[in-house]
Amino acid sequence: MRASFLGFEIAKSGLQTAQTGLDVTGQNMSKMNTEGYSRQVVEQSTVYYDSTSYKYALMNSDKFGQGVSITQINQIRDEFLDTRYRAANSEDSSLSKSLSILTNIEEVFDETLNDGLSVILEEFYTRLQTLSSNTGDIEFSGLVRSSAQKITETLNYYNKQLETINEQEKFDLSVSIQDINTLTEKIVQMNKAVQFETLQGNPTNELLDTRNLYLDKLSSHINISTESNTDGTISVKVGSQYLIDSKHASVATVSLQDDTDGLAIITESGELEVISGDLKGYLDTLNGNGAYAEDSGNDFNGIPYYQKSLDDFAKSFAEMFNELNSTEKPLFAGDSASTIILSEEWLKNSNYITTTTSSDPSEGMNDNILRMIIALDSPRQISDKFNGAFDEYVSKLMTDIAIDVNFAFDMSKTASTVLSSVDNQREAIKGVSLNEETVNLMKYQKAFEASARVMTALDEMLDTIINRMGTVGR
Amino acid sequence: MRLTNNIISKNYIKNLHESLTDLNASNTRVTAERRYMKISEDPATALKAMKIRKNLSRLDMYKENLSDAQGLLNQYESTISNINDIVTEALAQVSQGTTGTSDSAVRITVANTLRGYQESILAAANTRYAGDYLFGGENVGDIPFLTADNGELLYHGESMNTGSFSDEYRFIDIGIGLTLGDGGVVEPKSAMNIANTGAALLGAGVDENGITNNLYNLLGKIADKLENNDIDDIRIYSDKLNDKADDIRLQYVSIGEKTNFISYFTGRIESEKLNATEKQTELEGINIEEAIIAFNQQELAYNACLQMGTKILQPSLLDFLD
Repeated sequence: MRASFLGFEIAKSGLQTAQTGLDVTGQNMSKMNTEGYSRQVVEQSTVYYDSTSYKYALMNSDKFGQGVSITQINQIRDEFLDTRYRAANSEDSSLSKSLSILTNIEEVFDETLNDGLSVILEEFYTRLQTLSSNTGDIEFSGLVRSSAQKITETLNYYNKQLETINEQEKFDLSVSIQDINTLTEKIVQMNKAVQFETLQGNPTNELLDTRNLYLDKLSSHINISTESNTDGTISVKVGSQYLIDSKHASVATVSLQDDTDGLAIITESGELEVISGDLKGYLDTLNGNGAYAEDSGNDFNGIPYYQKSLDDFAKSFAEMFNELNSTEKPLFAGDSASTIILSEEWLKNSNYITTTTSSDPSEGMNDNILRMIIALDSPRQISDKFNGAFDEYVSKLMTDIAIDVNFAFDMSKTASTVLSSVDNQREAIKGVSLNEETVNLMKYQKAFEASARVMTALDEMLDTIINRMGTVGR
Repeated sequence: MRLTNNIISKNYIKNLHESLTDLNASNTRVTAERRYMKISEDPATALKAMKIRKNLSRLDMYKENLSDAQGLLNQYESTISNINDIVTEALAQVSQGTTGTSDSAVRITVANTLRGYQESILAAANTRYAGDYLFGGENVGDIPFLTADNGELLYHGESMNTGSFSDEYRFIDIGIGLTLGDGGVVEPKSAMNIANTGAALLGAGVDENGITNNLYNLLGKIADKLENNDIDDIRIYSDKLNDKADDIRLQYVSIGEKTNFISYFTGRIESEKLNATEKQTELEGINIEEAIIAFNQQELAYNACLQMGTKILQPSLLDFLD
């Protein structure tokens, strides 16, 4: 026998579910632009017929579901896409960081719109030529000297600029590292909250969203992988090392190690294997020794590579001209890009430059100037790896940086396309669609109306039974 | 794929940004009239252009060196023409002084005139160009020609009759492959010698008859003879003077050849420069019409992109519900 008020319970559950549905729809709509939010859906199930609560068997006709209940409110999210997004994000930020630093280096060397080392070198060459037909004239030897001074000053300046970029980027790197530690701390706190609420049986959707957002941000700094634990917490690894080990409740602090071998990212338990993220971009450009790298060293063409290249240039240039001018009369002092200057004697006297090696020198002899002109244009072992003229060496440096920037630009473009495609895929799963939510809005509204109508119908039925039944012939 | 409003707006912003970046790039190309602004935009072209810039600077420099050499030659030419005039005059004077009819008074006058010519030749030989002694050979800083107490000409302190004079070199690079030969000395074929030596100008040493080869000394000798009325063998000396006159004219002609050589070379450099400049424009420059058309197309695309924005970002089902 069916209970008289059974239908009311069913209608009530319908009304409640529709209401919750409307609430969740409203929540989705209101948060559609909130960063990191993943849409939620109401998971409904029928309240099934339960025979244990009845003493006697019911008629078959009464054996139907007993309305609807809300199992839980789920967030729609694909963990696999999260992992892919983070990998793509790491790669993208690594490349865009390299690109931005390389672009800064390029500005030092680029001579497309400005005159730089190669133009000044050419000017020096031309002035030596002019001196060769006007030896002994103080103004022409003065011009050669001022060009030479421009070369030393340009080398000093290039080195200074690279040094400035180095300092700036090192500072930015330390900011990134601080950010990593802050994010780890936040993730740990989210872990605790999730664990607590899970124990209480409360929903954790919003907490998970926030934690995922922190993980996304962390992935822009460094390559991370995550492991989920049964208690709802998450462990974060970089390579084989744990950054957050939730099982053992331990958190690593990331810091920067700066020693003679260059920069390294370390934690209490050793060096981190940085393979992507903006940290990778910083490390490559700040540690990259290029052709100067030892066996296992970083062979990216970074700031150290260009500084060492300029040092070799300065050293070789000074050596060559000092030798040509005669060993007792050096034209240049210093043996690196930062220290090279004109010798004091040359600064005092522009005719200090040796025009002839003749035993009976006279004004007009220019054999040594010609020797300098030829030497400047002839191949020379400027560095261990390079044999060529000085202007070719400068061109080589420009080629290196141009090709690296060009390559980084293309790679970065690709990486950002990949990232935006993964992001779109992820957004397609977790994002809020206004159309969909509007449909839901109408759906739940109609469902609410329908349940209310059921309620009215039942009410009228009871009215019929109670007030009108058995009144025949009264 | 499920499409959400956020995907649309994100993609739209990305595309709009790209479109604006392209618009900016094509705008810069038009206003700067350059194909690229940074070497990384087009490394291969930029490096080629860099080589051409160097090439152009070298060509300018060779041109400068050639024009220096030409300046020296011009001065040489006017000096030699001056000396040529003097020698022609001297020849006339000598033949006047050595005819049988002339008496000793005439001869002394002629002798004095010849000594005057000597002075003129000395002054001409010591001529300076841009502060340098033109005929100083390798030493252009010190006055090259002086006279000794016995009246003989000295070149850098050495008698031009008895001294030995080797070839002198002051090379300049004119772009024919300047190289060093043995012993760190410039290979003469690889450069142009701009040293003008006194020995070559006026002659040095003595011939098989013991007569000086030097123009100045020869005039002095003839003057001595005329003064002393010692004209029996004057014929040999006047013949010698004739030879010297021929020599001077020969030098005059050879200057013309050198000038031809220089102008030929300068012309070649000019045409190389023209080629290099053309190549440079081709590499670095843009075709302005094409660039403007490209810009207009880009602008159109950007405007279309903006217009689309108002169409796709706004509507959702909400816009059509009461």
